[in-house]
Amino acid sequence: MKCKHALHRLLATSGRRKLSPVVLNHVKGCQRCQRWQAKLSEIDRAMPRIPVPDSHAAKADLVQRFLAEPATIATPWWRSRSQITWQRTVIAVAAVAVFALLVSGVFNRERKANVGPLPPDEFLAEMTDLHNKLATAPTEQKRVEGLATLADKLDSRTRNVARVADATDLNELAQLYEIVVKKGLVGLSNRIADDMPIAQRKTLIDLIDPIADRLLRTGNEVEELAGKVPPSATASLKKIAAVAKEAQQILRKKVREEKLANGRTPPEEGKS
Amino acid sequence: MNRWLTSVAFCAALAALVGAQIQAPGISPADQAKLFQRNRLLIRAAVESSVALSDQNADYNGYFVRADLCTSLAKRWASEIESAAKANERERASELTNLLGKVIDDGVAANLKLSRKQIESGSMQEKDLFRRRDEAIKILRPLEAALRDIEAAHKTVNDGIDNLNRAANK
Repeated sequence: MKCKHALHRLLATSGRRKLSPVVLNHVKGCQRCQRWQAKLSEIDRAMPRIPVPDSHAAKADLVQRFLAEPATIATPWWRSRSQITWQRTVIAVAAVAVFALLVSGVFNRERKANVGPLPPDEFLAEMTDLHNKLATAPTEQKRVEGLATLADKLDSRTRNVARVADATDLNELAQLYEIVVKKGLVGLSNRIADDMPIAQRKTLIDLIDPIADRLLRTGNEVEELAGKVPPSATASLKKIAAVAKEAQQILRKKVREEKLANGRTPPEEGKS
Repeated sequence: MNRWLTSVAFCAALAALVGAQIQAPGISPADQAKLFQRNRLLIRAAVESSVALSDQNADYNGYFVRADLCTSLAKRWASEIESAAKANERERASELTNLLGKVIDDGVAANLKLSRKQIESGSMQEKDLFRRRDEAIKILRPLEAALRDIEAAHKTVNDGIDNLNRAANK
């Protein structure tokens, strides 16, 4: 090993670091390097004794500046143009549009329908029209058809308002349905008498037959609905279902009797 | 990017669902219930009259009974119209007068006209016919005054009176 390398080592390993055996062997046999080592040891020993200037103020100032340093400001979104791609823009616009539709849809659905005065009563107008048709009905067939339509309208209106109308009104609708079906439809079917011309009887029976089917359907549907409405509506719906089913049985029996009397095959239950 | 697309697709599906649930234009069930509550007595009168009408044959006696039934219904409604006019409910008065006009024209006058064809001039039946006509007109007269400020309704009443007179005349 040359002195140059040993000196480099000595300089590089001042302080507490230990020298490698190779360097130690060289230093042991080289006076120059020994002097260097002695001086370096002297420097090492003297270093802690060198007076250090008071840096408290500077240190405090540094800490102060560190604490006062503003937080890193994020680049505003409108300046970070590099992150906005056209795809993102399209998706964002679509999202806003869809959200607006969603909100408007919800509000539209939830909007209170009654904002001002009540609209004209279409149901009353329909009842009036049916009334007037019955007022000038030229045949019994027309009267049966008129009554069947009247019953359907009442049943339909009852179902429409079943979830919102009060029990008194629903009961009124059920009573009206009962009047039309029992007193009207069943009453008319009872007037089919033996002294009636056969052709007219046949026409009436052919008319009553599908009405019986409709009544059976109404009975089943309204009965099912009765289980899904508020308790206050249940009784009225059950009443309509019961009236419809009872009337259906009476009409069906009438049809069967008439068809048997005329040698025609009576229909099966629920099939015209 | 996928998250964005999924979110948009989800929102679109939700919007479609909500849109599908929007009820068709027309009177809402709540309004239907309110209307029924308000017109319950009129509807009952119309339904009961309808059932009674269905019991009448299209013959001479039947025409008279039908005319009587329609006149009774008209009387019930006329009283409601007068109340609406007094309460300054112009729209309701107009609406009901329009329907009353139909009952007069298509119910009372139509049956008087049908019976007229079977009645001889100067007969007792003709007197019955005129009496029925006059009863119907008697119901309409007070409405002429009550509906003076509602032009269309006033005209409907006058037209009804004219129709009754025409129906009873040979």
